[in-house]
Amino acid sequence: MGQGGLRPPLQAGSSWQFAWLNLSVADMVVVGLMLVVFALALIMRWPGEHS
Amino acid sequence: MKTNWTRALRTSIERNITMDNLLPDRLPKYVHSYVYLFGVLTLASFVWLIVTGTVLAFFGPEWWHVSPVGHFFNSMHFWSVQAFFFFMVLHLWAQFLMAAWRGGRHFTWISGWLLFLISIVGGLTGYLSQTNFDAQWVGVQGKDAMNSVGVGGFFNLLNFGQMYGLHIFIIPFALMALISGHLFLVRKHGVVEPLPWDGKGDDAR
Repeated sequence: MGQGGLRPPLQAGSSWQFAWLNLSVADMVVVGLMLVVFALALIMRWPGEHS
Repeated sequence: MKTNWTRALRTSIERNITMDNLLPDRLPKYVHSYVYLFGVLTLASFVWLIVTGTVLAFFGPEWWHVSPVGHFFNSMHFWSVQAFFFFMVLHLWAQFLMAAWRGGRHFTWISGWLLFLISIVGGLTGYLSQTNFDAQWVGVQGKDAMNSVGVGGFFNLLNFGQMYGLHIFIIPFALMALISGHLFLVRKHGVVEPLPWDGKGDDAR
């Protein structure tokens, strides 16, 4: 790039690309966290509940 | 008796909106699950978005860019929107996986989708309202996307006034109206029950 290079101010860093899908590390961390929270919500027993 | 709009509206409200449904003091046992909390967590994030956004709108960009307290409120607005979308997507997963449109709840499901889509426009106009280099970059890159789908003529990402007006007035009020309708429908039809485990569908009960 000329003129010192025009670079986007938003830097997502390295990313995983598969066909049209492009996920940055931050994207994957958030999606992973959502899956963990969802799984915990399904597994964890409500306080005071007995099986 | 001759009908008129006022009487028809009163009759319709009396028939369709009962206080027992709107303010129930008992809920079904199956809502004792953390999966049923994602909706209210989304709502709490939205309330915090409105609170922090109101403070930001009152003091303006110069304040949120240079003042330590302004930075703090700007950060709270940013993290509120992260929580808002985080919990909204989890709420969407939960409602999709339990087929929450069952039992006449189709308009609850549709209003939820409308809320999701309008929230995305709210997020985009929010990025454009930051008044920093990120906002300029998103605006210049995004205008081509808008032009390619034919809406660039009346939805101009480079018009700060239009984007800011949408972000702080039209979109929040549209969301508040839709959330009111969404919550009303949840109360009217009740919280959807979990899917039965025997594989026979709703008819099994």
